Amino acid sequence: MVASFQQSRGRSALTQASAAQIHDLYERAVQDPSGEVRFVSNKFKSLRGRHAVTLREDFGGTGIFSLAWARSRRDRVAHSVDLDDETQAWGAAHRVGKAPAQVRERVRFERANVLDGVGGPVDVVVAFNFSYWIFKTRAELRHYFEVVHSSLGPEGVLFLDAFGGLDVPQIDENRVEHEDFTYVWRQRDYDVLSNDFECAISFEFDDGSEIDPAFTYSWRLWSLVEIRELLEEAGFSKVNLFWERNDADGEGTGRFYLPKRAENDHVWWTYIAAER
Amino acid sequence: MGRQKNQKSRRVQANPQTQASRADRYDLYERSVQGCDADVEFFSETYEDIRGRAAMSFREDFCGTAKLSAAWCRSDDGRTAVGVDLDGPTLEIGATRNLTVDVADRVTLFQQDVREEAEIKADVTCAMNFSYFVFKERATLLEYLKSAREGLAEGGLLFLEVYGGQEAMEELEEERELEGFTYVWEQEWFDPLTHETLCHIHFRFPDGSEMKEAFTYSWRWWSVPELRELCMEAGFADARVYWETMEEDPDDPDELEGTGEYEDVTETRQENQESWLAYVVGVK
Repeated sequence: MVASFQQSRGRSALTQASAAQIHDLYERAVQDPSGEVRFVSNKFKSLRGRHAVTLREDFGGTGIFSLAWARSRRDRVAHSVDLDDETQAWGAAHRVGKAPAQVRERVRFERANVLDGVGGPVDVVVAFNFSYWIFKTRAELRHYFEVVHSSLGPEGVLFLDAFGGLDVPQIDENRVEHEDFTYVWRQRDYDVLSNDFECAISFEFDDGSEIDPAFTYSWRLWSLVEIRELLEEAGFSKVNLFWERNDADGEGTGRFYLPKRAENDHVWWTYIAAER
Repeated sequence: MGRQKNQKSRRVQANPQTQASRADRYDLYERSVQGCDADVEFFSETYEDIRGRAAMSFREDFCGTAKLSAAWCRSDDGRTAVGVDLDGPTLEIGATRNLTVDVADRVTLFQQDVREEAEIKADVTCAMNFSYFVFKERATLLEYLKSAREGLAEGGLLFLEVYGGQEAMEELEEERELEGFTYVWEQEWFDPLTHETLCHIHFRFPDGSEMKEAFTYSWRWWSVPELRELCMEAGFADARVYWETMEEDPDDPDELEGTGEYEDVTETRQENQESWLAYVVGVK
């Protein structure tokens, strides 16, 4: 989830855009908390031979991953860390606050910097939706990984996601139609000299109104090999790079495995599990 | 391409009458991928721009047949060069082919690891044709860059040739027609997990014969930001980027092609392209 966002100004009160809630749209467009909790749970269990219980969700935004974590087992607790008050308040009011008491009491919002490493020691830290790409230098990203490493329990695992592929390091635009809005992903600028990568999400509506941009990102496009090197430098003992299994038609199946070697694709998404 | 080829030597078809069987792979290589006079001019001009004086001493790492070292010395009577390569037979062939009387006493060839010290301190050191991509670990490449910096004279420049773009990161086979043969660049595979890649040069001939895998390269592809970071970690004062300029292809106005000229792009943003060439220049 993002640490900052901008909502366009001057919208008429009558448009679909003005009635929409960007956190709700974001969730529907790009998030799959229960699927990701299932993935993290299964991979942790196969790495460590037991269930993971405690979680910290860095860049947690509205906290819906933490909520799904608390829902998934009765002993699970989650800390959702983000710097953005408004986003956390929305998540608390519209998502976590609406869950049954025995679930929501196991989700805690922490308004903090991810570099503070609050809530440890935990079994699992997740940093999803590429948010850790806000760290643009090796020193900064390594420092973040060191903070995570020191706040994990002895069997702790950090889960990250990453994307890349032939079509990613360039200016590009992708649109996905949803029932009542269109999600627009824009790669607005890319610099091959630094891998600086400027992206934005916009939402467009049938009545012609739009929220543009709803979220903006100033990232470095990190490669898997760079991420692996930095995790190892930060002290992680083993770095597992997953890859999505394709079906016979070359379509992604949503199932991830540990390959010996992979083939590049136009766009790929994948996960990294770094063992303390 | 880099000449730290692996041990797979050329596989020439059995029939001794074919063009492939009669061809000299070093000659084909030099004619396919080397443009030594342009390289010497670029290094000379860049050094002079930055330092306000002429570069005289030159070190060619992964030098293979040392054709570039010879061209360096030929460009000025006062210039000297050192060529370093691990491969003894290639150096011997190079000495015979390229070290003609006008330059032979000014070029010294060393059969050794490029990370070892050579005799001279160079004004300009180069690692052409991506040869340093043989260093697949960050620590190993860093070690090379440190020793390359060490081997430079005060104010010296290290030129690292680099390629990239979308086409660099996928399987690919590309043909270029040259006089009397076809040069083939094959990227057999590229692994997005590690950025390791396996590439080959093949030569094909009009009689249908082929010198398959004349040269094979097992590399890690390094990005420009990684190279700049490593140069700075190795102690260079600056790591500049020189980018090959593009112009419209006269045969196809929708396509751009490289001009062979490079410009300093340190201060500007540069978009990705399907395929690009550049130099990362470590400034001591």
